[in-house]
Amino acid sequence: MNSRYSRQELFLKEEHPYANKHVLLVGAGALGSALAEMLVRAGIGQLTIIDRDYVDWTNLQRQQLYNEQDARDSLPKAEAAKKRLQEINSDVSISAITADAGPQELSALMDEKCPDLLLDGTDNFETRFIINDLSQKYQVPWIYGACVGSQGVSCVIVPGETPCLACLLDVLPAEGMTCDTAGIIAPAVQMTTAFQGAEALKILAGRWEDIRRELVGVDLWKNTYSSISTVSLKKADCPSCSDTAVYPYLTEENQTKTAVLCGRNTVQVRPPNNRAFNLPEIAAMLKQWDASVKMNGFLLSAIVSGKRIVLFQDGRMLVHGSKDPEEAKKLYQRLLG
Amino acid sequence: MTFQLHAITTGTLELAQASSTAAAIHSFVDYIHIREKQRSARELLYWVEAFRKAGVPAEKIIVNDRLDVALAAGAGGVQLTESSVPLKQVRPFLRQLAAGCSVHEPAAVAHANEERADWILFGHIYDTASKPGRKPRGLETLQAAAYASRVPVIAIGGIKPHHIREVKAAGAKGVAVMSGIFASKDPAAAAASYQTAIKKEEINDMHIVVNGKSTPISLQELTIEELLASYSLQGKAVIVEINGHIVPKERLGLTTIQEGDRIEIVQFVGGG
Ligand SMILES: [Zn+2]
Repeated sequence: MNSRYSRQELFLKEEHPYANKHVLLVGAGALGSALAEMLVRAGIGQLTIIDRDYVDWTNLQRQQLYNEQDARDSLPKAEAAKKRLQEINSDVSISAITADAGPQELSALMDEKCPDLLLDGTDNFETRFIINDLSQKYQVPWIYGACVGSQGVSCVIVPGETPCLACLLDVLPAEGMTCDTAGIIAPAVQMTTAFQGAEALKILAGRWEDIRRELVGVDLWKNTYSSISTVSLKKADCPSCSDTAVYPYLTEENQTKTAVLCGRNTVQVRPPNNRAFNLPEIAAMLKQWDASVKMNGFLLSAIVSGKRIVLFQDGRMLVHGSKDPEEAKKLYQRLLG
Repeated sequence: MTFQLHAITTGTLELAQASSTAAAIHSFVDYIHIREKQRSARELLYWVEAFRKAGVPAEKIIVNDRLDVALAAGAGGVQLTESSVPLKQVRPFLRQLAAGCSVHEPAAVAHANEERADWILFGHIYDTASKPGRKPRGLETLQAAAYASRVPVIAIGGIKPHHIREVKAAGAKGVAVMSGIFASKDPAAAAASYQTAIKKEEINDMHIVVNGKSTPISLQELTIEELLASYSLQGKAVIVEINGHIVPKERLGLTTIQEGDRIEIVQFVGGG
């Protein structure tokens, strides 16, 4: 046994169970990078990656798929990840999507080709609750994972079996502790994705009996490990996973939405529905006032009113150096109406 | 093992008063030593019997020096002094009796350990009326003795309730009190005050296991909510389990923590 996956097969006592599996990975930051690399090395058949951000110098300390050139080029993370992942394993079919993972975008991806597993590589609870609802609606398991500082936490959610995220958390937690305020060390990422990755390999190999049915938390700096069995927390009237589920997080609001990005001192402005923009046209317009306008085929960056802005083809704009959603929204409307 | 409290007779009381005192204090102490050096073996036998008749549990009664009396009267143990027959020689005759050794020099601690004493009375630690003019050993010497001993070292000599914290910190596993209890105007109240001081220190010593890690806690009636606050987790998105049971959110402020509780806290964080 000297084939590419022989060591994995030796452990699994099964011949390559991952060849026909499809995973939808939401987010290609620190968790997403590590998870994607694990799955691609494991030889997953198809990986779809959706991410809204581009590579920045502050990512390089822990986001293992990216290098200095990616940061210099401000490459969208999904694209940079795909480039690196295909170098690692050219057999895997990889789709890179640069977009905000809202209910619409994700529902479209689920409809297009329903994955075997949803993986959480996001940095915010809002998106996680959308994933949670999709998981229930499409009956696809998902694996929650999150990290901050030296802490990591993970939980497997299997529709029809385990409680869902809405059972565990009845309200959307305030994003009190983020990479922004508490920072993050790379080992916390690796520990979290080790838990997520192991569960992913179990689920994709159909080893349901081996799945961890506990919420697990680790602090690598304080040297603590904790796990709690969540079985008793399933709620009979849960809006996301009960018989009367309404999937509250899949309801699309038809208005401009803003989100403060984790660890970036940046606000994202997202227009209602997909507004396609002609980036070269906008670049030409902006160049009249600002010589620093740059484009890389995926996005445009410029400095407007002293703030660096980045505009994506799907109409989203990032306003750097701001944590004020109202200010960002005003700037967006001033530029793009 | 809990911190021990030994009460020792002073050699100045008549039997009637001593036995009524013993009856009044025994519930507050672990052992009562009959240390009446001027009395004959026959008298000591009557003392043990009188104490037992007054209601003192036999296993709490320790006879100073005389193993024969302890055995004959059915006492709980014997306290061997530096002028007694050495423990090594009396061991074959001990049966189930406990045997303490009195030691005044740290160097002798190793010897008492070799002889497998049940405890070592070490002193005197502070100035005391019973040893006028003799320099007290002090806490540093006590610490050296406790450090060198696997056998519990019981501090003796001038110990007041307020000394218990520092004596315990020095490594003593108990205190022995003579005039502080038996010569007190209200021996029961005195014994109770020693016991209270010991309990207070043991509460300061309470440990729980949080996320697999032994953690000291110093508050009585500590609730889970207060524990969370001490980790800056109050009101945060957490799930808490105590001894295998998840604590519902509305009960976090009502659930109090007991010694030895195993608590698991997992916080939902957002980053990634
Ligand atoms: Zn639910």
